[in-house]
Amino acid sequence: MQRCDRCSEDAVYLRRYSGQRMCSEHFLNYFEEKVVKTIKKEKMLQRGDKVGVGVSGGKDSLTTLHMLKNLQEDLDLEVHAIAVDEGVKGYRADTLGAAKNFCSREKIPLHVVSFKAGLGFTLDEVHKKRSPCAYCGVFRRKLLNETGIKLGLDKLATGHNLDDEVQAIMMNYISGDVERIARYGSGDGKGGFVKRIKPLAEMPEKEVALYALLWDLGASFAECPYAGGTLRSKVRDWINALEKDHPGIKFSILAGSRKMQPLLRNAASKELKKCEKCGAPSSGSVCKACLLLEEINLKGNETLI
Amino acid sequence: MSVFGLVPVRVEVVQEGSRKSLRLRKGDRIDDLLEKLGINRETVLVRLNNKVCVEEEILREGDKVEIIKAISGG
Repeated sequence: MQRCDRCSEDAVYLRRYSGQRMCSEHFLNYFEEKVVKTIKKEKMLQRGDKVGVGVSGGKDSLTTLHMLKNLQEDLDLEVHAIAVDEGVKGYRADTLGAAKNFCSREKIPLHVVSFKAGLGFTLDEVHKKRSPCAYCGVFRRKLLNETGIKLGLDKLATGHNLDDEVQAIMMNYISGDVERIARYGSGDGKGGFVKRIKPLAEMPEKEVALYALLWDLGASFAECPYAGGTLRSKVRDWINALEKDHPGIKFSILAGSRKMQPLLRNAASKELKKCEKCGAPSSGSVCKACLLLEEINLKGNETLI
Repeated sequence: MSVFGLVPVRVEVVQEGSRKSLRLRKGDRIDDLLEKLGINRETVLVRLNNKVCVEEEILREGDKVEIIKAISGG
């Protein structure tokens, strides 16, 4: 067996961008130290914060929750979990089960909100007009933010990992959305948004999966049935193909984008307004969630102009 | 041994609930197996005989290789 570079134990991970082999213990230490470093560097948490974690029951959200739970005592945090049930048959019930088991085991209060109760429909019922992902992200963010405000949260943490960040950056480039590139990752808690934090933003998805597996967090590895064939899944495959031949490319994309953001913010970003319909922060006069809700409520062959 | 001097190695591969037996060349590593299966190593974790391992491990006769999807969508 291949050995850890720091001890004689069997290696469980080869970090290709540094060439380092790690055993289980050294990998877990490295992972936790790096997440804590990211939290400190980005000033994500303050002592005494009331933090909500958006959980799906997958590896990313349970790893985020596990990390924050472990920091709870040191930072005097109050940690809550919020799960959004979009109503995707054959998928969400399983992942929510994993979230419920984890929260019950770790004694973390779990708040479940659903598309059906909060919006009046499930994702399965409305996805026929557009790609389901067009609705899902917008409405998930809306419900998470609204729940965060109700709970009086200081911070709302999500399980976005390095791969998610890099995919979003590349998708914004591909669609030429300069304003979104400028705004991306700046969930600064102003104008009606609970401040969003992403403690795993610098951890590659493969490392998050390994961490969840080694800790036996009971995470679901199920994939959303709507995920295949989307632009995001194509971008994901493309970036992973590049990463295989050029280890470290995901970090370069993230670092490059962070360097460009201050320049773009001055040149392209608009002040956030209040949505005319719901009062939520919005770049336009009506927020994306209200535009989509209006579209869903149209009858037959009507279209939104 | 084949006429080309190659020694085949048979391994059991478990992936997403399905099992199959595959024949590889002696000295092939997990990387080579993934390449043959068209799987990008960046997207999976591998357990060799029930232990998580690196993809540089050389496969031996009778090994059990479990391929776990490490990336998810949605």
